[in-house]
Amino acid sequence: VTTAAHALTLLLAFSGFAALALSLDRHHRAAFRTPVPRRRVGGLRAAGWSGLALAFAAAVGSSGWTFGPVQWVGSLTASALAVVPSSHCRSPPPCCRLRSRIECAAPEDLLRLNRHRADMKRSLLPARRP
Amino acid sequence: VSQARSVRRSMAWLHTWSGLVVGWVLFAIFVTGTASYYRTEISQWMRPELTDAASDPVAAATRAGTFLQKTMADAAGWSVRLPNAENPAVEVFWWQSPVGPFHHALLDPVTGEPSRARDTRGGDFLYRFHFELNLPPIWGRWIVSACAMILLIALISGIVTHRRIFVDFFTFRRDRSAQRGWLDAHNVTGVLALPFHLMIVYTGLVTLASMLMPWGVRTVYGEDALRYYAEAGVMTPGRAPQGRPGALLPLGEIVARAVAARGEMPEVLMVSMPGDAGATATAYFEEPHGLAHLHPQIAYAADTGAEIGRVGEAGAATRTGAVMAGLHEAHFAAAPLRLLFFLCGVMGAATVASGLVLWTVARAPKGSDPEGFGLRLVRVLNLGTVGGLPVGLAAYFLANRLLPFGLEARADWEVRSFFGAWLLAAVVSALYQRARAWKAALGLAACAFLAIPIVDAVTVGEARFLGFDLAMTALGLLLLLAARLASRRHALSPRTAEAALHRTAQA
Repeated sequence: VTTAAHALTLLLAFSGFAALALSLDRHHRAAFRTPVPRRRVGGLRAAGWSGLALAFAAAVGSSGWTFGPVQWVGSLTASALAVVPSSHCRSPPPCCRLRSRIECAAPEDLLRLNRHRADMKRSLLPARRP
Repeated sequence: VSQARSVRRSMAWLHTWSGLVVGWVLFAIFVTGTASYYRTEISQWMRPELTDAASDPVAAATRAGTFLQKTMADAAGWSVRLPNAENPAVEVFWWQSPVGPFHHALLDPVTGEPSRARDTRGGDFLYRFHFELNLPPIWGRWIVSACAMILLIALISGIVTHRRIFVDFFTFRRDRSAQRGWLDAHNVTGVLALPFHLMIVYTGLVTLASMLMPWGVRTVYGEDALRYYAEAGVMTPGRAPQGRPGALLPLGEIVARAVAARGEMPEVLMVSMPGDAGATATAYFEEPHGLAHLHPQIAYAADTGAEIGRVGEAGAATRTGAVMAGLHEAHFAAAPLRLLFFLCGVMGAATVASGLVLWTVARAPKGSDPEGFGLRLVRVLNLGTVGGLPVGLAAYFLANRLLPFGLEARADWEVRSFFGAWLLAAVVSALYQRARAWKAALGLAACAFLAIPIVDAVTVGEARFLGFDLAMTALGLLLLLAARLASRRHALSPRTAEAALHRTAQA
């Protein structure tokens, strides 16, 4: 039970930090190729902070008021560290890739892709497969 | 705006230079302190002869008393750590004067004679190095305190300097310049574990506060520190020596009374003035459940076994200090929480190391320009510390397995192996040319760590050490990865930062 509670704390904190990372342009771009849409920022931030708050509740609920807060702070560090590499993933999952091709008409994105992909020279939209 | 900028600029200057001057010592403090979270496990691994055969602590205490009576009947004090599952041997100390020297032995709980286990300082060496640097205690503690104080300055000035803590919270750019990457690595490891860093340096200073700031206690209590400890609820006052010889009860009898009084086995039994008619035996119990690092005590007259006193409820100030010490040492932490503390400690070492490397990367000469003396000095010291200390650690563990069993002062030779290998690795890596030095240093450390499980399997080969050996293998593989990355890019890449810094000692 304790192990499951620890895992739950970590998972909630990780999800919270992931949402907070996605509310930042740089990491949203890494995942979806576009800056974060304004209307989505509020929701992501709310989700992020609630994730961290729920993690606190899980930690205190399982370990009590004495050890819970210590466990929470430690879990925050560990899960934020785990978000760092995943918030820089350069090849998003296929579903996102498809969407981003349609959405990413921003010139700076095209320039960025241009640097990395040879086949960008031939077409405006990057085509991975023939 | 310009004023804010100038404040930030001066804080950046302060952060850079305060971090640099103590960085090398801090790295060693962080690494050995982080390893100390697994001090018990390290000690167990280093004394493979001790198995947790159940023994009777009451009988073991009596036998230890007999041994101490034989060894130093007129001592100023004895201390007996009773056997338990984690520490199967009886550990005894005895001393003639309260300022030392403190003599030490491990006893077999069944025979009461010195244990057959190999002579080693085990995890205690790393633990004491963490705050005494293997120097005379008072010197070491002052140096460590000064470094901790400067670290506190570096942390706070670093926070002020960092303009975009929230925006750059998760940022780690591998695709930009080497300097950018190192800065990101420094920021990520520093910011994400910032609560730990602030806690650990502040509480560390608090544990040494009575040495750093003795004036308050001295003003009120003068030289009578014992009365202060008694009133603060830290110690029980013993009986005053009577100046005539007395006879002791068997120590097991006192342990039995302590067990009856509190319903649990004491951890340690201390006897003050054992040869005197006024001898006091104090039973120390384990930390009660909670964050505070406090030890309940019951004092007995050592000749009659009558209870003299107990440690009362600690006052608010004592409790506050005890919680801080407790947070620092994390004795309360079960395995998962301990792992988080360990991870944070590793990130502390990583912050220091990446900061040190960043200093040189930011000042690296362009192209084939020669590097100046200062830069070269810092680079060589970085190599010697960040690359050399892991080699020393691995050599300490290897020496434990490889040194002959009956070697005179064997424990001292293990410590010499630690420093010898560290020094050797530092010198060797300094001789390499700039582009290959990190690869050589990290590769050497990786080989040393990977050798540990092999040597252990050949010399001892017990299944209960599998966890320790796997941890050493993981550490070795991380170092190997770091060495490979260092060789691929010639200049250290930011990614190496992460990998390189995980080399911190672990168990």
